[in-house]
Amino acid sequence: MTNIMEIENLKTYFYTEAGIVKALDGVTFNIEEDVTHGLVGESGSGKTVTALSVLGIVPSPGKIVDGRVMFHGENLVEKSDKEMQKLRGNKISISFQDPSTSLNPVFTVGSQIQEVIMRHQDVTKEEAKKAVIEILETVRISEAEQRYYEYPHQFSTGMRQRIAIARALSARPEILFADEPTTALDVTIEAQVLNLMQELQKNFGMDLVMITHDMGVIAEMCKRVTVLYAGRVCETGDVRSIFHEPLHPYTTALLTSVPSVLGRIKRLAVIPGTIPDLIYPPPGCRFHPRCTFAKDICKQEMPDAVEIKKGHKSACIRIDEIKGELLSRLKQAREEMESE
Amino acid sequence: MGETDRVSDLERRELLEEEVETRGASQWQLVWRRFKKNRTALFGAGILLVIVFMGVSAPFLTFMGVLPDPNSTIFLIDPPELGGGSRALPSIFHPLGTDKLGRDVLSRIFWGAQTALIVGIVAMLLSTIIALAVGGLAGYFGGRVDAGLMMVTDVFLVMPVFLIMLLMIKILSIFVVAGFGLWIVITVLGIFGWPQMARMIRAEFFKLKNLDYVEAARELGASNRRIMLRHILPNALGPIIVVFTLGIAYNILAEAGLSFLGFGDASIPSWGWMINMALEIVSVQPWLVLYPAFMIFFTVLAFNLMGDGLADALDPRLWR
Amino acid sequence: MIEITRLAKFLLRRLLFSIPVFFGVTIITWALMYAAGDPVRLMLAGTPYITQDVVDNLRHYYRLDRPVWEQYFYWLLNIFQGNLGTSFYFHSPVATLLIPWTIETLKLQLSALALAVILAIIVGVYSARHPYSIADMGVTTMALLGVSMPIFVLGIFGLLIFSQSLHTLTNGLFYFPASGAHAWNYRSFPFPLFLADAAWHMVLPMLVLTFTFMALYVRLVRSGMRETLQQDYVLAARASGLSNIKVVYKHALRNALIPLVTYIGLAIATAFAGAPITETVFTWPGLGYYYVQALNNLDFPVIMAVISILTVLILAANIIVDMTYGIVDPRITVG
Repeated sequence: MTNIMEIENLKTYFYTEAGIVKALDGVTFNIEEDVTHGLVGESGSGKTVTALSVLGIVPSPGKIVDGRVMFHGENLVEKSDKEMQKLRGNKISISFQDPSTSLNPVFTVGSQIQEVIMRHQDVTKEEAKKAVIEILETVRISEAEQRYYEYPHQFSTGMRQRIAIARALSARPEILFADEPTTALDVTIEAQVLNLMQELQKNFGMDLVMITHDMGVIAEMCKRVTVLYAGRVCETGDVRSIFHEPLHPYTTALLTSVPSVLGRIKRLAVIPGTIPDLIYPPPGCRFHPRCTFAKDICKQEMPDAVEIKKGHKSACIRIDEIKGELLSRLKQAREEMESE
Repeated sequence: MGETDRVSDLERRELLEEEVETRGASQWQLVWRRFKKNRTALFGAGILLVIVFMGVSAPFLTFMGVLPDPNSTIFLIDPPELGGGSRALPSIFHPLGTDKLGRDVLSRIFWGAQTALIVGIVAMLLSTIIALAVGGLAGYFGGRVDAGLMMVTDVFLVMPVFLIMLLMIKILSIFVVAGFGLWIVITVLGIFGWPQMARMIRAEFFKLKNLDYVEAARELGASNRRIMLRHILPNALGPIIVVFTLGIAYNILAEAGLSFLGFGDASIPSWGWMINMALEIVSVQPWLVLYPAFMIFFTVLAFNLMGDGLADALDPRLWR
Repeated sequence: MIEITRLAKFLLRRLLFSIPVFFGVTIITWALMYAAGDPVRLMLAGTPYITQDVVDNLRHYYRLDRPVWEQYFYWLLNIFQGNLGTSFYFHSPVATLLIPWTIETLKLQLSALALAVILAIIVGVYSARHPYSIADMGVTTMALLGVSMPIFVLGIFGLLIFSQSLHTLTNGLFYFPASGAHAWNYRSFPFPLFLADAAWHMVLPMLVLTFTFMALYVRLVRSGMRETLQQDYVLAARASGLSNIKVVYKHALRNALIPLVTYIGLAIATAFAGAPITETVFTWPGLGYYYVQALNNLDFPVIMAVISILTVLILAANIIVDMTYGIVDPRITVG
């Protein structure tokens, strides 16, 4: 398997009045070609910031302070903004969480997609318009020719999300970061959008990176997954491997909080505590204040993810000792869920 | 519905009201804390303190003889060696010199602070009463009442207000005995200064009347008057205070403008009038314009800074 | 076609709203003036030995011997025929007097307004993009000073520096005119010189007015841009690879302009209302300057006419602003 993108030791800090928020503090993982990659974690774990950092559009006062993003043999972090503009939306694209705010309310949806195509492809206005209608039809907007001239507020939320995805795909990117594409949507529409994304991925032959907090979406969509916590990678590996044999206490906690497949959330096993203060993060492993297995050693060293099994890395120092315990907890939780 | 139910209803109402009031109190503490951190707003408050001190101390200082009588032209007969006479240069006796009529400029600056504060605040109080009546009723009752009152408000918003103020002052000053000129200015400023505030209050009342605790109070049988005064008004107070503060700044500017055009009260020391009187010799003695101009500027600045600071402190998100 | 009929309906509705407003303002003005009493008596107050005959003749000439409401309706009837009455002071038809005054006022106020809006957008956008930089601090401080300084003080010192001191310094070779909108003999000027002379007279009042207007708008543009620049659609536009200029001046600015457009409707009313002060400072022969003169002379027909025409101008400006609002923000449907 070849990697299409390699992210190494990425550090993105926000220089706020209250102090330096270390949103990403050394994130390392690879995105393999032709494989859907999942990026999972609680809100504030750095999922979205990772995508924004890759695209080079971290909003002020944020800055990438260290690390590399390798894409086609080039380091994106070192590229100028002008050079990045040619890649954004063209080779690497992102669709945002809330389509109600990510589409500009004062321009027609057609013109918003058209301008992206015109920016990246050498086409006339008419050709671009044709391409827009085509892509709107691809994302199943009926009567695309008329709706080209309508404004975002004239569409339903589900349609808006599909339009936002259409815009992200309009220049046929190689990688699409889909930031929580279903969070703003109803459950019924959620399935539609996920199906559409799978279909689009096949037809367009692009790599999809799903950013989500929902392990269910990961299970449904992804082959590989990276678990983020407080700006650090906990674990990265194949979805099968991670779901069957998680190698990090945080992942186990996330997995035991998956709502049952029937959607009857009986008991969201909430992980005690909250995501730590990113201005003064806890020393050592970021997760140790909330970890039931924490020992003194966890407070001293900040562990990097190392390969435990083939293609499966974990950043837990004590993983060899607690592996068995993690597994039995997961089994117990799954049995409980099934019995309900 | 037994007697006991009524009693418990009453108790619940009291509790509910208490909750609203305590919530109010803690909110104001928070506002004060945020305001304290805002350096520019504190700077404004500092300037204002000085101006207030000047205005309050003016009569005492005059009574004690520290300052000369601002209206006394007796210094005309002062020999020029003692710094008297018309348009005298600054001297120990008259630190800022004298004006055209030989009146002490420093004393008039102090007394002018009093005039500016009285005009700004009293006129704004009058405007606020009208705005509360119009905006409050329109927002609370809605429907026809709202439509009618807002129609009146819109008329006031589009009319060339300053021109009508000038006309009104001109006409009223024909009837009113000399010495009450300032009260004409205050009344006219008050009568025309309410429409924007009324719109804001209407929007607030409209928003607040549908909140749960207001509905609860209504179901518990509170009268309209009680709901408006005890439940809605305290929660709409924040924005009202902001508009009130900024309105004072506007009134002081407007009074200066009216006086500058000669439509104020010449018998009362006012900064605007001082500029008006000094204008003919501005090229020779520009400082006679400069002193009152800076006083107006700093006073207005102080109220503007405080208004902005209060707006920030009340709702940092909404206003910026 | 549907668009046009909808626009026509909207205009009709706004006109229907405007008519009662116009009546309201003129009736209030009329009532105020006639509360003052007999204008002839007031005019002749300083003239002893006037015979009752003369007074009666004058009263009859100005229709002052009729009931007040009849006079109002007569006035109303007349204005629809383009007759605004005869000035007590100038002794000539108000309508012919009013035309040049209106032109001078509109010329000054509208050009200052337009310039202020353009400059405010440029400066405000820059400020919003570099928040808390030295330039931004400078801009916000100047804006605060601008809204706190009475316009006549700025005018007086503008005149003192750029007209008088410059005149003294350059021995009268180079200075800005201190009063008026034209040179005294402008009627004899050829057209290009006439234009240059008019522009030359406008410089100083424009400078002061533009600064004051700008102070108001810069704050609005800056806070609006600060907010829109943080919106998701701006981030999304950047993520699409659009150039910074397009992101800022197309996607962000279009949204930040919405509150500005609303505000300009109100600002026009305040600008016209401030005309008496600015025009008095610069002795600018517009509506505001002559309004103050008319008040001092108790020239009732001129007072009525100036207030009426300013009300009409403000109402027209508001209709235009409301129409623009529908264009700027598609979520608002006009009509």
